[in-house]
Amino acid sequence: MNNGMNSGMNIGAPEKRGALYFALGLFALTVFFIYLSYDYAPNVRLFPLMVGYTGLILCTLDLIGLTDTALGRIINTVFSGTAAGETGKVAKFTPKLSRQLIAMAWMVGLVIGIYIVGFMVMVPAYVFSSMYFQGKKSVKKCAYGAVSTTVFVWVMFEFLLKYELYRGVFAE
Amino acid sequence: MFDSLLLALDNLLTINSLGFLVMGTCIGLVFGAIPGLGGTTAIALLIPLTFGMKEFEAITLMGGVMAATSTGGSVSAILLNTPGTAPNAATTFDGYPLAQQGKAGLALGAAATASALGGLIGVFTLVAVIPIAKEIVLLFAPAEFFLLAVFGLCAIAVSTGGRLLQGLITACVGLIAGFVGYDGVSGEVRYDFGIDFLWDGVKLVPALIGLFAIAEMINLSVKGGTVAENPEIVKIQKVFDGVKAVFKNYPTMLRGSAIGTFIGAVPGVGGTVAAFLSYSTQVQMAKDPETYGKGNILGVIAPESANNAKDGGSLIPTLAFGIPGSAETAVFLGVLILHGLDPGPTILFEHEDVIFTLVLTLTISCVLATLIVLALARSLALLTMIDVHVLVPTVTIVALVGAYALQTEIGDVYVALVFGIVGYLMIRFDYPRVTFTIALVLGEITERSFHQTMLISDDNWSIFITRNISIILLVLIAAALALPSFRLWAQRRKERREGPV
Repeated sequence: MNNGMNSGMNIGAPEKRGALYFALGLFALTVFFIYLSYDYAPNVRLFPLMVGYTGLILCTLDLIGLTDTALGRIINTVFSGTAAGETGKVAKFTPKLSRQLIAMAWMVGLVIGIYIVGFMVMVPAYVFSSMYFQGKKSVKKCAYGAVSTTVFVWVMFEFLLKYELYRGVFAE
Repeated sequence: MFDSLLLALDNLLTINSLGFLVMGTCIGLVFGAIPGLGGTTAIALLIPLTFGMKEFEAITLMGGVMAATSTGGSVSAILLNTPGTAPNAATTFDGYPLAQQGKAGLALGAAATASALGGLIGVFTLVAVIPIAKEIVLLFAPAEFFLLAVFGLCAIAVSTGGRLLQGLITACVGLIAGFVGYDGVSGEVRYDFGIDFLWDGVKLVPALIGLFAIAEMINLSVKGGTVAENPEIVKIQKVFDGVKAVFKNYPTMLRGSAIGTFIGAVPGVGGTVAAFLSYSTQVQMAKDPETYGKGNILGVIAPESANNAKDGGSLIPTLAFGIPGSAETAVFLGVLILHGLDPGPTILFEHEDVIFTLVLTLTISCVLATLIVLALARSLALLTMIDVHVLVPTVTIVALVGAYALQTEIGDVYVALVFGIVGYLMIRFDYPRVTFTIALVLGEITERSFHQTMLISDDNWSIFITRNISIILLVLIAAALALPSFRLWAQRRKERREGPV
């Protein structure tokens, strides 16, 4: 990632910001993990702390590597094995943030739906709506997709493998 | 060994096992041919279907997938200039120009035959290495297993194409995720945030389904369109000329297979490096290097034999030491663990029949995949034209239902979702998922080996530098970490010698 970062001119500001947020997220996660580890006895936390502190050092280096400083360039060079500015030259597909959020929101919505009404309602509903709204398919195609996926799931998991699929929070 | 082979034959020659083998091969071909899916996603998605199976049936299904994905990937590489899997990228250099010249059949025939023969050589090497591996494994104490796991993670991080730092970070995060739940050493529950569901830790199967299947679906959904960007397919004729070309040029095939097997056995280096190395070796040794990249059939045979031979090679560290050589073998390791098989010395000494079942599966699947490709290449290439908006909802549903089916626990669906989003962010910001996955799989053995080492040595850290094998492994770890810098130094030195162009 910082391969692309070390040549700031190759990547637009939003892309760099996103990478920075992700790196910061990993840094915060590692700090939080180290903090939690001190709740445990010394022998229990020994190995997790070794990993945590190693991760913290690496995350710090990664964050420095994202900066347009001499130290950042040195870090990128040492770890990537390419001269600073050589990497990240290939234009990468950079989708719009809204598009990514929508794609993730569909997944989150699906899981929330499964939690509330269960698989057997959510499977056809999700397949139909996803194909209709995201894929702009005809109603007939969407219905065909929804029915065939539901039948496959039911036959494979409930009928053949004998799993009882989750029916939703109310049924439970 | 002979008894194990007979037992393996007995396992395999049942209607169920053979059916799963054929099914795995077909699924592997389809997932291999569709760029963005690949063998790892296929195995992750299929894990839930194996719950009710006997362990050797699960192995035949997964072995079929593993052996067939690279062969399937060559179809889209040759016909569409879009490699189905990363190791097929080198095949596009000469495969696609051949297709453009109307020789797609020749290229496909050669690719499929080279894949089968390369795969068989890799598998036979695995069989030959098993007795030696047994001897070597006995020399390993917990300290060596710990260092070997660290070496595996470092080697894989180094192989992630200039992303060593990110690879090491995701390895640490993978280990951190692996610490959640019951600690086998102290008996204490850690990092559970008071959630009962987390007492068992982050379950491997939903996490893998999230990291690969869900993450890829989010990625495909964001990209949109059809999976392949160039949907024009040329005619396929004279396939058997390609088959003959492989036998006529057998030194190229043997060299590619040897490179693939050797590279495959090094954790993390994988099929992509093997294929490119085989291709570049072929070009360097050729009398007519200028013809490569323009449609030379040897440019198809070399990478294809290497990328299938690596399967056998990568199973050597996976089965002998429990150290997976790639993301695909890491997920496969998860399948073995799920079925109560402990990879490493246990499987090597107590379940040799399992290894032979896998060997036979890979052998049959290599040949079967080749026959299917020769017969149905055009149909396989058409698969890449599936609209992602049809593919994404169906695969997502199967993935989530599969995650749930593991223990009929709704929490597993949340785990798959969380890891899916994390996996997508890793794809988006170019953090390798392979190191994360392998760390997640290796977390327990790494920590256990470390604690055993400390117990044996009475907390004396010098145990890591008192035995020869430990020292060798430490040197290998240091060498792996220094490799990018060394490569840069060598490149600069070469440039200085050659002077400015």
